[in-house]
Amino acid sequence: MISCRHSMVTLTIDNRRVGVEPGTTVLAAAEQAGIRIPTLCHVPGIEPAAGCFVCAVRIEGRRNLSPACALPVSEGMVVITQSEDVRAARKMALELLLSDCTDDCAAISPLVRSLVEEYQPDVCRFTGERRTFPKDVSHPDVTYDPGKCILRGACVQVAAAAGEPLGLAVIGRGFHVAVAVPFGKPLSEGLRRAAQRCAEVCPTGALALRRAAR
Amino acid sequence: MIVFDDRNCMVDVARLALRSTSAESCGKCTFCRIGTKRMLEILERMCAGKGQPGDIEKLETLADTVSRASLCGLGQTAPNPVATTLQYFRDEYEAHLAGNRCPAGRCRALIRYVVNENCIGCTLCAQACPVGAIEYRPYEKHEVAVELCTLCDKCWQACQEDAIDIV
Repeated sequence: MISCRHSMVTLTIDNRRVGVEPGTTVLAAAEQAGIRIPTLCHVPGIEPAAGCFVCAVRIEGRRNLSPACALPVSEGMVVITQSEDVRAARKMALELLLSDCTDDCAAISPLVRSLVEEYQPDVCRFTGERRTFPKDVSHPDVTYDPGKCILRGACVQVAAAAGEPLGLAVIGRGFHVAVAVPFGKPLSEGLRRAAQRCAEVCPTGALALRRAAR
Repeated sequence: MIVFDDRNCMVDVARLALRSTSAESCGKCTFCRIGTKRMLEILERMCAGKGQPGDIEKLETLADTVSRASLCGLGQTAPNPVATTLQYFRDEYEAHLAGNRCPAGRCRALIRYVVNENCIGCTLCAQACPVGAIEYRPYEKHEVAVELCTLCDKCWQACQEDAIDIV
């Protein structure tokens, strides 16, 4: 670790001191320190969304939990990544997400599966209404199953960056919010060039490449 | 500022607050989007007399974590009505759960209107009833026909003798 204090930020993560460039996120700083913080909606290379809260960490002195994927480090920050309340919050995040997805959600996505293995969420704890999950199979290269969508919006960002005229958008708000092509158009019209890249950034496989295309 | 009295059910108040905040959630954060919805569902069940053991504990845990794991002020404060009504009016929650009772006489699934011994037979309640659930009995004790009663509260409001109980 370089110790030129005027250009580096020093913080403590799980009792480990680490110096990083200003603007580094807590998640990236932890990685540099050899500490793994679990993530779900994190997609390297694009703006973080910080909505899923699986990467929640506790910052000493703050009541609220912080999303490590988006929080920039500050000098002297003390981060705790594995306390009881942090682990309980991650477990609850998974329980809430799994209470509103298709039954095979945990089985299909390797990332979700590994989080379920690590945090052992009780999938019956918060049963309740589920969104409706109308599948969109109009596209030749990808399928869309809203039942696996966690509203990350990475596909929305990627489609916009690719210059898609329609692309994807987050439609509505509240519990029934959904990622869809605007104006009720099918996926085949929404993703004319960015379909594969969108499927690649989807953390749960809600947007997935058709097996035949692989 | 909203003023309540002892005829306002605090579980119902929390339910109404959650009904509006969960609808206003933008949907980005897991805890706000799904957590407020789940809290609303628990409160709706309790007000409908279908509360389950463990509901109060679930509400407390959800309220705490939703407020601590949301990006904006909506998620951070939406659980406040639940947390504070639980803190100051926990007995009302417990009555809905254990006793299937609404002490404030508000939750329609849990209440009945019953005429008591104070009745002087003035017929004001019978006059007020919009569905004819109270037969006119001048100078005699009146009675609310439960099968016709729509729980509109008009008889309770009309009575001058404190002769109608909500049980």
